[in-house]
Amino acid sequence: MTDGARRSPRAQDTVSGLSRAARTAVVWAKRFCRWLSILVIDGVFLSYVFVMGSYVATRVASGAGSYLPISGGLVVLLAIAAAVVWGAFGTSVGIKVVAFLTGKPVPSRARGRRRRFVAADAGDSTRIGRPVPEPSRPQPSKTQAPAKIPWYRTLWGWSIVLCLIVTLAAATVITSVDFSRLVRSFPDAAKILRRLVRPDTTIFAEVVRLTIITVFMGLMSTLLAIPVAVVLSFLGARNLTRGPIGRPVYFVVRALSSMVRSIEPIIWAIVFVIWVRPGPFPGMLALFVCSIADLAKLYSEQLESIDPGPAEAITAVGGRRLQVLVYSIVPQIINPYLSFTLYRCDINVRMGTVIGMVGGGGIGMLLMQYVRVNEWEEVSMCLAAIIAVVWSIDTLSARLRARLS
Amino acid sequence: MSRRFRLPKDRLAALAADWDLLILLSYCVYYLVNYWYRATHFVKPSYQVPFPGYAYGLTVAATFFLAVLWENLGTSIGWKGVGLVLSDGNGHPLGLARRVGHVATDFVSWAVTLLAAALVLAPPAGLATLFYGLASRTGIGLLPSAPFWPLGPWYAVLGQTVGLVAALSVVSAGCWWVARALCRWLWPGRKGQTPWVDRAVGSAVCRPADLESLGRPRRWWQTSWGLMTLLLVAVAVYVGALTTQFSLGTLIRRASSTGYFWRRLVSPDFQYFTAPDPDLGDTLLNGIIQTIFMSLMATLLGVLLAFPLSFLGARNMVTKSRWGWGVYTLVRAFFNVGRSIEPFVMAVFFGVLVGYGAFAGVLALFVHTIAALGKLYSEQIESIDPGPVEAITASGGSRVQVLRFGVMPQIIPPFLAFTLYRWDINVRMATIIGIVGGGGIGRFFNYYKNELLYEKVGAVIIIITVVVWAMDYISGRVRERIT
Repeated sequence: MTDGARRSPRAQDTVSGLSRAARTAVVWAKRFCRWLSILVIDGVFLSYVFVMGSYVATRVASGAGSYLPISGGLVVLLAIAAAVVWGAFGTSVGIKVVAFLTGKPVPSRARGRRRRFVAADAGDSTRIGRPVPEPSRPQPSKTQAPAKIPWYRTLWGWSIVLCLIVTLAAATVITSVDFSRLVRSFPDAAKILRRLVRPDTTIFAEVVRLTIITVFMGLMSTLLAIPVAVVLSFLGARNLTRGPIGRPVYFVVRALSSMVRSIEPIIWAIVFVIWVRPGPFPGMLALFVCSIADLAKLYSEQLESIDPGPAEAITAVGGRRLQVLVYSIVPQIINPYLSFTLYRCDINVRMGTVIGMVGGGGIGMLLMQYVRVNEWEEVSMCLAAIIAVVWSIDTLSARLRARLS
Repeated sequence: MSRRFRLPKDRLAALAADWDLLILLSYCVYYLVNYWYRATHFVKPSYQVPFPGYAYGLTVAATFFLAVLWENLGTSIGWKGVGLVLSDGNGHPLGLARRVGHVATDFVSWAVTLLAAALVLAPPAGLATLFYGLASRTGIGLLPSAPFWPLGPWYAVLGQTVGLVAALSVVSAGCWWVARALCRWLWPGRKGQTPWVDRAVGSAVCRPADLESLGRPRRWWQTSWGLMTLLLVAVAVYVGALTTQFSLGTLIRRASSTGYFWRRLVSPDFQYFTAPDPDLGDTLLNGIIQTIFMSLMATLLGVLLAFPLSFLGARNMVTKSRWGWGVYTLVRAFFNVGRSIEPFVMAVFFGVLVGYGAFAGVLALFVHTIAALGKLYSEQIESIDPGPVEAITASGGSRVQVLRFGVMPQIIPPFLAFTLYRWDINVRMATIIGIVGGGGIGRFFNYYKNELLYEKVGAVIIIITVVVWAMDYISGRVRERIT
């Protein structure tokens, strides 16, 4: 900043405090990034439509199809070329998506030209000499479209329709959806349903015992996860972790928690079944790990949205860090924390019923055992217990959460 | 008698909660007695201490009485939960002597009601027994034989229980009604006073905020509900650790012996990402594409059904007639039952029906999506602003116009957000549904796990993580923009 003293007032009000050249560079870099993302989205969109369309076409025509009838490199090149042309000369899907996600309309050169044309047309009368009052004729701003064109008269509208049709066709083909198979299986379904409505009461005691184990699995995993998640939530809150140590810790905690959450409890249960032998313990551990990740995320988001006022007030009157924590942060977060914990407990019991199907203990283990040998009377007894427990815990937790918030 | 009979819902809920908590506690006690007996005597692990049969019935009854005592003599967890306290009617906490009087009156009135009910019930019960005995001996009767009924052997048990409960509740409700009318005639009471118990003692039930505090309020650990919560948590953790066979020792001991597993898991092998696996005849890429399309198909189909159903499941949309109410209850019950059964279980069922594969997975996710989305949608419809609807109705709009211009604009953005959220969840579930034969990437996971190919399991887990994380992120961003 060599000309700091001679900075114009216009430059001074910018927060960044950069020189004019640097600001221009930033503007151009932003423009380039936007152009690039539009190009990438258009390219992906076009190649997706092409690949899926050709896949569906070959599958329908010849019965067996591959995704790429021509070389992959060629598809990418063609898609990039088409995307460049589309983005430059029309309103492409990419422009629409970027405008939607950023919330700001994208100015395009082609539209700029059209705008100028329209403006000259509209402003003709003013030039001749009939002055029009300013408020009644607002000037079209640089970023605003001159007129709203209905979507069915645009290229992007129809390409999205085409994309939807292709997607639906591809989904039908790929997932082999065939409702005639379902209709043909009605006799079997009726047979199974007839057996399902006669629950076998002889296994009632066993079912109750395993259901209690399932409930305890959910309770235990939640209770044990609370302290760990509370500690992690303070490390994973953006407003509480500052400085050279805090920020990396924040990123590590957040990344780990989102990674763990991406893996379903069932997969965790399988991992833990390999680790410790099958039984309720690995199921509980799986729920425990998922609860930590989920609760840490929910808790830390709550911490990020607290009101900083009370904390500042207590700091200002000379409160210690512990006092700030106890008197300003805890009262703000205790109710949401309890509510999240109840919600998680509800989910844990729900997941606990299926986690047994992969060896995690509880009612799921019995259910899977009877499903394997098609003993539908026993299956229906297990299902009745599952529905009763999940329903009641769901209702209870919803009621309590409604009271807490 | 102009006032309608109103069920004291919050107090009943509080009683149920207290009773359940005490039953839970007594279950833990039974469990611990069994556990300690097994630990100290040389018996087989499945040995059960032979309590007499009536002990369980006695426990249930005793916990009920204990719950009532607790509610009357202190602040129980249930009362704390629904936000009620017992006061003396002048805004002060109730003294101990009057609390004892309160509970005594409660028990006496309950005993009188029960006695009256028993007296009224005795003649018809005797008649019915006689008639039933005659019918069963002679084989002539109006009741059809058991196998005719779909419930089979449950018929007899169910019939007797339902009959007994129904008769008892009808008769005792009648007695209560009469006593209540008498009571109101004798003592015109204040707000928050139950018919005779509070009026006899002079107490009242109110919210804690209405209570004038005398001195320093007690800390939570000095109250009965606080102490009880602590006790419950401690016992639940202890019994929970025993039932779930919690042992850190196993975890640590087995960690070293599963070292090979971890080593292979963290060195993923992406060999079959684009090259087809000879055993499964497909690539992992195709597997994950199939998973995504499965979730897409299930979500789309689910939305098509959940949308109309949600209007039938919204309280403010169905008519106030008996039919409307029936439809509402049915749809709501379907939503709740459908949500209770995880798609993981349904996939097995549909696998048996239509053959294991992607279609079974789609169907399982589809049914679960209808129920889950239907519930979210209908709750959204219930919470709309009635203003626009009334305005359009008032200006003579037809039902369709009310829906189109009064309801739709309010619900479309949240519906879109819910649908995206549901798609996100469906992707998550579709990744694992293949484990029980639902197609998609889960099929690979299950196969590699069973063949002990842990490098490939690691690759599958990484693919699942990346896809689920990306879906989560994208759906989160788009939902932020919509709402």
